Amino acid sequence: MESWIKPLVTGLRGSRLTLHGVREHLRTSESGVVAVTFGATVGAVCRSVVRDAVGNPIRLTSGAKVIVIPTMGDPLGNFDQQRANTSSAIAESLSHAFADAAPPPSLNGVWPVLPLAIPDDRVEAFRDGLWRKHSGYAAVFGAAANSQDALIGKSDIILSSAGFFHSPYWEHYGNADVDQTALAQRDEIRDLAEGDIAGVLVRKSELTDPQADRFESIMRHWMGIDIKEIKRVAQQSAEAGLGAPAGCVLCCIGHKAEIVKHLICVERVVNHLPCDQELLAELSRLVSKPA
Amino acid sequence: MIDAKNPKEPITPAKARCLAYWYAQGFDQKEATQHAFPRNTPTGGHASRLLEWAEEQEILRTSIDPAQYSQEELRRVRETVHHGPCISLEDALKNLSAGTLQSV
Repeated sequence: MESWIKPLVTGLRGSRLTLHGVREHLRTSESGVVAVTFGATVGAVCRSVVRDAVGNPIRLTSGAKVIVIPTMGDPLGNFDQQRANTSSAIAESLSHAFADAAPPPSLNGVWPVLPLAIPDDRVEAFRDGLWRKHSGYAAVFGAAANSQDALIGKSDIILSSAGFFHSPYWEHYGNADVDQTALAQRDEIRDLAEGDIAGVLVRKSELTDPQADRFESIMRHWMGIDIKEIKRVAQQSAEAGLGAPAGCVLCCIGHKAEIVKHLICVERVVNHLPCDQELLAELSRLVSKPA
Repeated sequence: MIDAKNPKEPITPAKARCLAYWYAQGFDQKEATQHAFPRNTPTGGHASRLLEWAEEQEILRTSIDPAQYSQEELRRVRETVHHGPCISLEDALKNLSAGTLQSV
């Protein structure tokens, strides 16, 4: 086992319990479309699920064939240091855990954001002209806007993590392929957003009008999953109740209580929270603190 | 009266569930035993038998699988295997999420 994975996996709230829990969540997909995001925690969890499935692959309770899809292209920040934890790499890896899975589409080479130098009103033209011609992007997000065939619209489980720009890989909202001078820097993002889920920035509730415009502009340039999709998956799972597809499974460890609580209580996009003792303790303190 | 320090003490399902929960948190057997029973810690032999029983019963696997339990049974099992603060945190967060959150 890679040395840095072990602390992550054993650090999660009960390695066996958590991994079995994630495995059971994955089994509940009815559509067979499972979405995975990017990052070290999700990567470690998925690789552990795959190891656990050797000789005992996951079969969906619905009997459907599975397709695991990435939710964004290349990762934000330094690509070389995150090669194993891109959304496409994790999707490819997780596919091996299932007894019956179609090859996952790849979003390798797709920029996480467009350069901000591209004006807001030109973004969709760039998306159509550039990424919707990319077979993987077209499969996941549709060959045309509002395409009924987009796999992301059929997903009923999203395996994700969350953050608050803590990663050393995130100095700005973009990566080396995108002109760094034109990007939002970490400090600005911190002023505008509570944190992120799956790379999608979570807007602070109280922004000035110029800040709100700036936030909208940044998110218009984001090429990955839309927050509306995450909300749809979470709400459908919550409304369907017990035995429904697991919805949004947020795997988190460490000092992320603020953003996790925000995602649970304000955005309401979390159906299941596999976490470690540290986060559990922080959440306890935060929830019991008088408002 | 139950003597938790007696290695021949009969298996108590509630104790086994409680110990299995802590063991599944990633603690080793000794640490898990101390967490589960801080005031009357069973000996190694008794703790091992509790864990063996939990494994045989697949407690770790079934305790969080809603499909295998009725709501009432699930509530009972979860209250048995979770320690108090975790259950109350989960309940608090569920309320704050207006029902979106289903498990912690």
